[in-house]
Amino acid sequence: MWFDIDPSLSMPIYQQLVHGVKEAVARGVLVAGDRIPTVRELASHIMINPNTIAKAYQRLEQEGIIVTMRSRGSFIAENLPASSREEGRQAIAGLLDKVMIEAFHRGVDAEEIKSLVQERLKKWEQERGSR
Amino acid sequence: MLDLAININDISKSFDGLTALDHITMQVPYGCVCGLVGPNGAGKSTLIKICMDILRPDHGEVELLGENPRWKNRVRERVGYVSDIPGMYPNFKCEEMFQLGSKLYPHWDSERCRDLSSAFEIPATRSVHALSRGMKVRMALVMALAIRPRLLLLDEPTAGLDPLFRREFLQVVMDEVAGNGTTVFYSTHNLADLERAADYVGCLNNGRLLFHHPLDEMKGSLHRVQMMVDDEQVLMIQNRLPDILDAQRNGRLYSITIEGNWPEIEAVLNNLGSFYPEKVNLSLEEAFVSLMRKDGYNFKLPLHSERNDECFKEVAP
Amino acid sequence: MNELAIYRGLFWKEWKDNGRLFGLGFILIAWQNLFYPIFHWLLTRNGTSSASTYFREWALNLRVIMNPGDFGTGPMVSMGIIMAIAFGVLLLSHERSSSLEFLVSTPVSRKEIIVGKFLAGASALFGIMLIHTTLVLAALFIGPAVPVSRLEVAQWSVFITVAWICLFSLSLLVSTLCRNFAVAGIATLMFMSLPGIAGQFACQIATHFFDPAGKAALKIYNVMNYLQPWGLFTGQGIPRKADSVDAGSSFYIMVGSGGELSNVKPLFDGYYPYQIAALLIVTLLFLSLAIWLFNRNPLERKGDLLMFGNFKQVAIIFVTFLIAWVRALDSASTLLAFVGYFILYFAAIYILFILFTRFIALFRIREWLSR
Repeated sequence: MWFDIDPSLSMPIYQQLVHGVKEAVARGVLVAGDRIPTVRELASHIMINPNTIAKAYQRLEQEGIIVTMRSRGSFIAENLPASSREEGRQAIAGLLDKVMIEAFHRGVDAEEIKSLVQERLKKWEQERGSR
Repeated sequence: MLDLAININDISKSFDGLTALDHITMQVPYGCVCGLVGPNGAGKSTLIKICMDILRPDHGEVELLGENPRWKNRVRERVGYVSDIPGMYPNFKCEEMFQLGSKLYPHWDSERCRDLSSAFEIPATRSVHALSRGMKVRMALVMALAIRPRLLLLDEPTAGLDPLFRREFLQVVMDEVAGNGTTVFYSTHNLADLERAADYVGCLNNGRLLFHHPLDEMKGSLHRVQMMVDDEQVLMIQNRLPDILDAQRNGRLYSITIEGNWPEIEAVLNNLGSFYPEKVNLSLEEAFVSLMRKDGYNFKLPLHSERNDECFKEVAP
Repeated sequence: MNELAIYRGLFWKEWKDNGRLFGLGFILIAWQNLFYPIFHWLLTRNGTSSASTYFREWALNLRVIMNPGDFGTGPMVSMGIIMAIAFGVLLLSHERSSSLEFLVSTPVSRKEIIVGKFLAGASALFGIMLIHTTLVLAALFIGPAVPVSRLEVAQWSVFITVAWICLFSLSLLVSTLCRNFAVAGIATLMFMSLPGIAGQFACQIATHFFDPAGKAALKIYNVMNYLQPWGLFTGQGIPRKADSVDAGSSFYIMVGSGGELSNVKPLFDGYYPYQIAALLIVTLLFLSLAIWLFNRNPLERKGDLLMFGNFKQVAIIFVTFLIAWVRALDSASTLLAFVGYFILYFAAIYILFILFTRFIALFRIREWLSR
């Protein structure tokens, strides 16, 4: 689930939650208009400090990923904003670095990586298309 | 200040000449969950008991919800207290304990009490002395929540209890925080729970407060870095980065725990030459161990691995 | 929440927690006077001829209880003294083991805790005596005529109730000083005999330095003896005509002794109002002192026997005091001998104690080394 978080990671919990929701939206697990649990529900469900959850929701709302309506709860926004381009590029680059390290140790060369990326992209597109 | 749920001001306490608390000052704002950690005998229970005015400090003052409980006992109407071994009247039945609670606390919520005690499966007609410790803690928690608290003081409530109950306990407390904005101040040994539940962390060692920070801030300011080094580079790193809390070397692999701003540290390390500094995960537990070591908590167990350290060095290229 | 509601809650709690103790107190105190009239009633119903003789016997016994000239306090008064002490000691010290921390963490002040306990214990003693007296008066109304005045019984009951409550407040006061119920009980007995000890001491000083004839000593002795609870109940200390006190030889530490006492009628009659007023004032004094002390109780003292000070030191001084005094009684010049003996024995006992603890420590080290 998107709220599966690991408190023992160095990354603060609210960031993990923000990431989790973003990832769920990207994967299509959460779609526009889906209701996400209230702070109270989530806090007692996953035993996380409600202030932390509120902070994460606040961040998500600032970024325009969720919309909070009084008395009805929070929902995934209809028009998802494109996140800042430079920020996105940096995040992807960081992830690719890890891929490269792993590839080096496993003896996968550059061409193979490229073709793999192509393949994954195609599969991803298909998955999203089918939803 | 008005917006503080707990204001501990310069508290000192000694028992028969032994210092248990040494000028502790800490503040907990409303609506926060503040965890208190530290080794056994660090003074956590003493601090909480002083907050409840069960023990009297030698020096300093405590304010709960803006009032000193010593002069204004009624402030405890809104303060729930759960200790690790809850003391209750052994001859009373559970329902009679609840009845006593309803007589002593003006904001007693009997509906909440009934709901919670049925959820926790508290045997209403059984005597308190026949209850297990876990059940007593449950009872104390139910009573602490039924008073409609604005502040909960929990003294190692889940120590030695089964993980299932720890889970229930956390869930109930988190629900209380989320639903009523209750402030929670609790001491624990369980860092995993603490990481989930707390926004503030205070650490006591030998009666002194080592630090008292927001948890996120603490996580952001403590880092563990691994890199490949030779002897010369180790010296250079130690010279340039004096804030190293903890360092371990295993052959060419050098791992340091350091406090500070990450980009700056990274820049310093990169300037020293290329030895691939890599930031690795630092759990709260490891962070605490490092901080305690820095404070002189140097208990060395005669472990077998210590003796093998030299072998490691020889094997290393 | 207002204070009244808190007191009501505390009162409820004390009765709930100690109801059995109070019930036991009732049975132990009142059994004698309950049993006799009921027995009499049964006997009259069966038409046995000995019934009225039986009742007469009971009434005379009641007289003895109320007017104890010699040593005849009867089981009722002594039981009352014991129960009053037991209430005071148990109400507080049995809570110290576990539940006091709970009680102190509720929105109740320490003053309210002590006052609540006082109200519960006092009401128990009052209730016991009320039931008892009502039954006795009823028996006197219904039964055959006996030479016991009902007014006398009523007055005596009020007096004895107040005296018990006073004693109860003393034991409550002492148990704010002692953690353990046994220590508190013993300490209460000691406090009770303090006036007697002090009186005998003053008596010795007076005879030795100022008044070899022993007239002043007799007065002091009588006054102080009267202040002892036993003296109060039995009237042994009331001034009487021909008494010779052989100062320095036949004093006893324990209360209620005094082998040289002759048959004297206690002067209770006509003095009740003053005695009751004085007892109530003393009760209030004890109670406020208990509140003051309990408010300063360091509750972290869990292993200690005393709430303040060092038990070992207090015990050493007390034991030395007793031994030196007993030794001094034998010698001719009592006061000087006492001071000398006190210093000597204190040094000796202190050194012995230190050697003893060292010896134990040494023993432990040996044990530890041999492991």
